[in-house]
Amino acid sequence: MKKILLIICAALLITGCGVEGKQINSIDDLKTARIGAWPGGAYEIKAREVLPEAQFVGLDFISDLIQNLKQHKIDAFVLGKAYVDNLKFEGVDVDYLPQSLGDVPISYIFPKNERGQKLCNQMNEFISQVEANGELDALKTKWLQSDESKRTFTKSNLSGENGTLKICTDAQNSPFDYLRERQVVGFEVELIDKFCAAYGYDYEIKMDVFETMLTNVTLGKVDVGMDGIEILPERQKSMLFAKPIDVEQTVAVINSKTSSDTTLAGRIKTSLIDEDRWKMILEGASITLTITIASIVFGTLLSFAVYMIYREGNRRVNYIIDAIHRTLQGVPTMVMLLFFYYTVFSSVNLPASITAVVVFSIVLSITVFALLKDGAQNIARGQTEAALSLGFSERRAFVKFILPQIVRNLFSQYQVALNITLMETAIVGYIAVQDLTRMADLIRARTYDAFIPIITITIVYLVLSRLLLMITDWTARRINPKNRSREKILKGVKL
Amino acid sequence: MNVILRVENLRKEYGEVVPLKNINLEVRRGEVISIIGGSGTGKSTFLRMLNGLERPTAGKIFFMGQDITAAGCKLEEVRQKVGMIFQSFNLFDGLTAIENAIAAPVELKGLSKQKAYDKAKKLFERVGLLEKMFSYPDEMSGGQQQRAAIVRAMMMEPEILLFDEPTSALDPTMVGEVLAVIRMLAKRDLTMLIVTHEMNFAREVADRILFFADGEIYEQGTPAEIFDAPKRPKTIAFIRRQKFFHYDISTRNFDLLAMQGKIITFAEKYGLNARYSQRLQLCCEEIIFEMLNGCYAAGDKISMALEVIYVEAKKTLEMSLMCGGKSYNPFLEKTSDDDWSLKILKGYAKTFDYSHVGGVNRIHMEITPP
Repeated sequence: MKKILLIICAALLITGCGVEGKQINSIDDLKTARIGAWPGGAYEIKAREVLPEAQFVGLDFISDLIQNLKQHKIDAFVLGKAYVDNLKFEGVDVDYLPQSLGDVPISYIFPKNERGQKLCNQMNEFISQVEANGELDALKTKWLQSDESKRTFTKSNLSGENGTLKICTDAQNSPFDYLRERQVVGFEVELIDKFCAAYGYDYEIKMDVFETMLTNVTLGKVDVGMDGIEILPERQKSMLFAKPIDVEQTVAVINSKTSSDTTLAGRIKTSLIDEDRWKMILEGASITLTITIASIVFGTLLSFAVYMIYREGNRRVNYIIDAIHRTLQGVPTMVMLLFFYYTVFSSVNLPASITAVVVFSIVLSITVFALLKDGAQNIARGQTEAALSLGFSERRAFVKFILPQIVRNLFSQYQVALNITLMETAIVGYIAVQDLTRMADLIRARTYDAFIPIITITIVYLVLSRLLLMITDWTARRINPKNRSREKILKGVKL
Repeated sequence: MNVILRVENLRKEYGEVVPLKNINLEVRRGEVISIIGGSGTGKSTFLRMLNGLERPTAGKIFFMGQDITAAGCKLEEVRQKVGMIFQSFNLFDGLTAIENAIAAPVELKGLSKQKAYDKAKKLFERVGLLEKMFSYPDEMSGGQQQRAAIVRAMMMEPEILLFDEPTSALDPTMVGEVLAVIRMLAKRDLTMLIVTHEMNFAREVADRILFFADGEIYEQGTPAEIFDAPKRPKTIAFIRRQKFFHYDISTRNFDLLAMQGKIITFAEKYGLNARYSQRLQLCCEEIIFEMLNGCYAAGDKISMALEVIYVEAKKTLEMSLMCGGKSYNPFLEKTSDDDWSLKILKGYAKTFDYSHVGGVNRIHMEITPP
């Protein structure tokens, strides 16, 4: 245990001290810097014009850009100003240089066909109108310059007399289009909602990744594409762009100088102390522990129950047990978890943690059942026969003389199985159980620092695992008959 | 005549194999019966049917008047009165000797723990295991384990005791202590059926000997009748073979050590002294190598059979060897000074015989006792 902790501390020191970032005060400092950007996007193109010697790193998601910046893998990244403002509203600790690297116009895209052209024309007309009457600016203020609390939106009551528009978006680009409480909202959503109201359309939004969306529009499979799409000559060859609905300044985002604390202590504070995030770790640990213990109890009981039925030796029953056992053995725990969550229990509305306990109980019982089956074979039939010859019934002989031996012989393997159960519970995050691993993920998503939460849960898992081992070791000593004293062996007998 | 056990037309089949065809037997109360016979003659199967560990294919077993093969028979109650001692002891692991002994009387007969303990203590004392009462099976020697197993069976106060080769799994040095305990029980008017390969013991302890062959009781009688004057051919062959040692050799790299081990065991069985036993080993080894070199060229296929006979009447050993290959009589060879093997053979041979008939060399020699 001490050695393990030592290794972790060393790792902490090495990575924790971190790489000191380059001091960046102006665009000039970025001349030869490493700069993150959406690969091939307009922001990268603009930045390359200004900084031809810089080294560009393509990263697809804003969260990746931030994480790389935080870890000093890049010195800066370039993005539209609205995105960065939005990040700051969300509390992400970044800054950007005041100088713009160039303007990037943004608009909706339509397929290059008759319907697309018609829609595009209507959209252009509509944009001119809202520009003139100030509605567009109001929307910009609401979505691009305010925080979440002011961004109200409900879908208009649409007649749909002229049909329904199929709209496609990535829905990952706050504030343009993003998911909020399972509804796609954003600047572009409200704008097109108003467009539909004005031109008698209804609309439905389909979500697809960016590249697929572009393809869908090009092929005319959808009517409109939106995703804060930058107007690029390259893209104009294969699709129609409406008039710009917004012009974004390309800004260079850098680590915040004022408050960003990149020291180890600072990172620990951000990851664990701020907003009482350590409570999340504790909650996660208790959920992990609860699921594990419940699964151990139920899984063990289940395996014994099944094994006792199996021992009765009814051929048809055993055939079924064997079949189920073999089937379940071939299913990855992860798949079983998803299977139970999305199919078996989907209609019952059980809490996800109950599903997790059910699945891990089953998985553990599969292992323990197999152990029991093999273990019983390894104990010579002779002892059972000896018990029978004294007049014990088959079942009584098994429970009194054979089972304790099986349990003792298998205990170390059983201990391993229990530890595996604890480790495997790390996947329950997939069915929305907020266990230890999931909590680390959540913290990481908020702080954009993976290291501290992950190293924290590593230590917590270690502690839990050692705890489990200590308890099971204690049990192992208890069930070893040779640790009994003479008095205990013949309790109540005068020797 | 107080018959405690009656077996009628008992038959056991395992698919095609029929180890027991038709067994009929009556056992009187207090009788000690030894069951002997070659391996695979169903002796153990027979014994195991008497307490229901094996179900007979046909036939009936009456124990104290009750048909234990009948459908409604409560085997568990019958078994309480039928003790069994196994070849491999089968003490319960993880329980001390005393726990092994008191488990059944306490659980099944409702004896108080204290009474069971007092009773067990007396029995352990009688079999010389008082000090081992709190030992676990893996802390005891085979002989001790078997004695503890006998105590365990005795604790149920059985009407009859079944011994299934009680000394076969034991080191020769421990056979004696177990046999002594069984002898002691035999003197106490207990009814016992003993399957054993210890002929001397069987002869000494039993009132009646059953010889099993061909799936039935081939011959039975008093020990004197069976051992000294067997009547039927298989009995005669079996009793004779008990005094034989046989070993086949088919390669030059045969396992010499294993063979010598078997010779030693054979010699011990007849109480030969160490020097005679060593002389026998030497002669066997030398004659084998002498004949290997004399009769076979390198690469020849080897077929050699060694036999040692103990002639009880004269208390001497005779050795014979048969082998193929070319004709070769080692005793006609001139002995050079450095040829120790021939010197040894000639020195120890009281008489010797050589023949070469039909391509087979036969050598027979009597070994001089020291």
